[in-house]
Amino acid sequence: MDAGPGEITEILKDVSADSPGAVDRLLEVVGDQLRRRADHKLAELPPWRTLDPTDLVNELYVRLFGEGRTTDWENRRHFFMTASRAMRDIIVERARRATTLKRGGAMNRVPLQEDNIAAEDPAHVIVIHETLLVLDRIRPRAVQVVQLRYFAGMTEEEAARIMGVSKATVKREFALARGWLREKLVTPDD
Amino acid sequence: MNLEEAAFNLADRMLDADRSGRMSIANESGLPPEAIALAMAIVEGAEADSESPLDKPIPDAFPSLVQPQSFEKVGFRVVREIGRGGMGVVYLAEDIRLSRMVALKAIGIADFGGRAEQRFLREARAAARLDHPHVLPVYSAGIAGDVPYVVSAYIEDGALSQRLATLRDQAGVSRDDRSPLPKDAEAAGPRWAWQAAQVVRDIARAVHFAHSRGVIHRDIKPGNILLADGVTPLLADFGVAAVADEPSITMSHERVGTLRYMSPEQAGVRKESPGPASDIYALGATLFECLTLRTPYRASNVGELTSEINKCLVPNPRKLNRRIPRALAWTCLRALEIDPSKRFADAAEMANSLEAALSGHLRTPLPLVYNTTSFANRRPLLLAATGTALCGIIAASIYLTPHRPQGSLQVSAPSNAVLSIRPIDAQTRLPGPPIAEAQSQIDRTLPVGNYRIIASSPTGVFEKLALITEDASTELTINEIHPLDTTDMVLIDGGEYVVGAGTSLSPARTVEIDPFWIDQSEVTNAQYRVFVDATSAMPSTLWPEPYDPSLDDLPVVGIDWDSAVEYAAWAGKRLPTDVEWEIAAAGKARDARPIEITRSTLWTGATEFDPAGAAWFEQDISPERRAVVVAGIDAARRSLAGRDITESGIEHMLGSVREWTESWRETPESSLVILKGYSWADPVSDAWDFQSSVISPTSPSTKLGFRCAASAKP
Repeated sequence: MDAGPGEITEILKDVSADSPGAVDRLLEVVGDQLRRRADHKLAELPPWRTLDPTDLVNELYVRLFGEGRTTDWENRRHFFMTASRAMRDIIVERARRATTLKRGGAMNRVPLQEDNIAAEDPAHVIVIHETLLVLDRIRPRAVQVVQLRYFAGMTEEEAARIMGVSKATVKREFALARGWLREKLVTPDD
Repeated sequence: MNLEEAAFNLADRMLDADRSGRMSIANESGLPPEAIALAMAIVEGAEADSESPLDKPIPDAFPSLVQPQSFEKVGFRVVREIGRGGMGVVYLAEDIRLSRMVALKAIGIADFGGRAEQRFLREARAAARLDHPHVLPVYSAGIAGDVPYVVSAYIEDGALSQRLATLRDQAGVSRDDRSPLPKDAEAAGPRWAWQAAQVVRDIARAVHFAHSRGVIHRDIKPGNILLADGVTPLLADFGVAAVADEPSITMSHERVGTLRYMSPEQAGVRKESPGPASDIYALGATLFECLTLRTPYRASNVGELTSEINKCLVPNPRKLNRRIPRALAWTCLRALEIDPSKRFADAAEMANSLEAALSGHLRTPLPLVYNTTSFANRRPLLLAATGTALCGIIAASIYLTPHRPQGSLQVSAPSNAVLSIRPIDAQTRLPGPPIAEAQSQIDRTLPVGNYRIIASSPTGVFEKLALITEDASTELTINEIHPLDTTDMVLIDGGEYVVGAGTSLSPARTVEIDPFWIDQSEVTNAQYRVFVDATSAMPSTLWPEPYDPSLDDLPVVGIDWDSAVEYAAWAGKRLPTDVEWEIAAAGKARDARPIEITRSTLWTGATEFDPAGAAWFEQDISPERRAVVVAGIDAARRSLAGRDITESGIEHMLGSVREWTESWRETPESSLVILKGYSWADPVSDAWDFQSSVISPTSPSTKLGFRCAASAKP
């Protein structure tokens, strides 16, 4: 089903009002729309081009709320946080599919080890995703920054504006997340 | 709070401190050593200069639609990517079934399927049937998964666009600037202009051929013109652009690169529907870029193009390169007319226009109507207002070289010889009546041109072509005159013959010729070796060191025109004129020709080994390439055995190697030698007697040999 701006605005209101299940519903709707946009866009692009997640998220926002039309600041924040989370899910989901394709056959459990994964290997993103699941229990804010900066490709300024924090905070959280992921994923050479 | 969380918070607090500060914060935290170690590691990893998984870009989570391995299902193993363009990505691939290398183009189109799919396949198959010497052969087309693809011959040599880029670098200009080319730029010289005219002429013929079979290219541009062996232009990508016209298909912004060659009606600036005239426009844009190294318009989007067209911003190509021959500039602008109905009626007319320019036939003024109506009508207000020709207006009167420069000729022959000089008519390429006759010595000033020098003595006749060039002195010393050895020669009767292909390009004409002898077959390596040993002439570039006697019976190739002329003089003969060659090949009846030379036996065979094996200008030939050449000539001869022979018993006129003739095609700014016949490595579907091509006399080629002739009635 296609959620129009009206419906999303309704859900966003519910999210602001902390109605139970509202965040999940928003994630579902936004994710669904992003996924569809991504498919459509990929079909439009020449076959060797890949998607820019930032474009995708921004484009969806403009499609839903129109450019320049001021949406409620809180709603905007919710939208982008949700969209970046959805983007992360979509990327990981596609990476899983690509890994399956690549390895051929049933999906393999991806080992939490970096050293034998090439940079272009889609498994790379799955490893990051799974490690972030752990970090989310410790430091949700760092994970939010990673979602915005890494998965949705936002700049520090954009991420700071969306999160309603200072740029320095975004920088700091991202640095800590970098350190954390490095410690968890890079096998020391001994 | 678990240990990890505590470590993370500790790392957060340590982050801003210096090294000793961090230690004291850690010590004061009271956390267990493993938590402190983790915190230290996080802080260290947070430093900008450390490496983190987050520094790696997101891997291709949205993999492109094209999976190179998906072509294996349809029989092609992708080796590597060799190019990307607006329409798709091109791979070098191996045809698994035929085990040959091919170029596979995967086409990037949205919402592909249904009607678009059918249309693509229809068009691609029509393109695959285009069998023309200047069309890159399309082998097959299909759809792998969702991706339409076209398989064609793989040409290792570059595209015209690369040549233009090199010339731009050399000239120090960009594609957008509008300054005249520097005088010393290679592209500013007439040599390049005429070469470019030949390329566009050949491509225009290929385009006309396609149009006559209902196939429109839609995306002609320098990037789609491949230069096989560096000289033979081949138009690629037929049928590829067809699908992009489907209304259901979103044109991606990638196509903008092609906009510079796109006709106004294709770009949607005009209402006419795109058709053959759009291809003519693109040919004009290509010629324009060849001549000026700049594109006619600089637009990078349709809006800019519309505005440039409305402002009539196509400059006169001669403003960008002052040395462009007028005839070429005119052809260019005629093809670039905004109004499709004002362009050349068809691509053949454009090819003819270029051909006429190349043949130096433009001794009559160009049509004035072009100047007075067509261009003026474009922007009458602007022209009236400024009084300046903003558009490219061609000067009204164009007469070429009224002044005839001169050079001198000195000939000395044995005292019993009678010398005579017969000028070769530049148009008919036939020798005229003698203009000078003398006993043993001649010293004369002559107009620049080609002359046949004839020395007759009681023992025999010596004939040789002399080229008189401006302000230069040509000397010829004839020491001995031998009787003509007519072994393995065939006598052709004199009289009236019809020559020429009978097309507008090569109109049939009646000539009257003297009887002549012509070699039954090409000069062989063994024969040429005797000459080299006797005269210390240059050996063939094809010969290995030491020489391989298995080459003996094959025609000698890899020698330039001067060497062929010297050999003939040494053998007491001369090269045949193009007219003589054609008469010898076609006979009086002019029937039973053309003979068919199939690509599968010749050209494809050559490319399968190594397309560069047929290189024209090669000085050092590797053993591998030599093997390709030898195998190619051998295969050509065997596949045509018994067919490539005329009624009078002359062999190998068409299929084996091309042949130097004595005749030159003179244009106002270049002189090139006429070649006849076809070779083992030519991309031809059928070879015929009336076809000629031209080349610089200093270009030895592995495709090019010669045979000798002699006048029978001096």
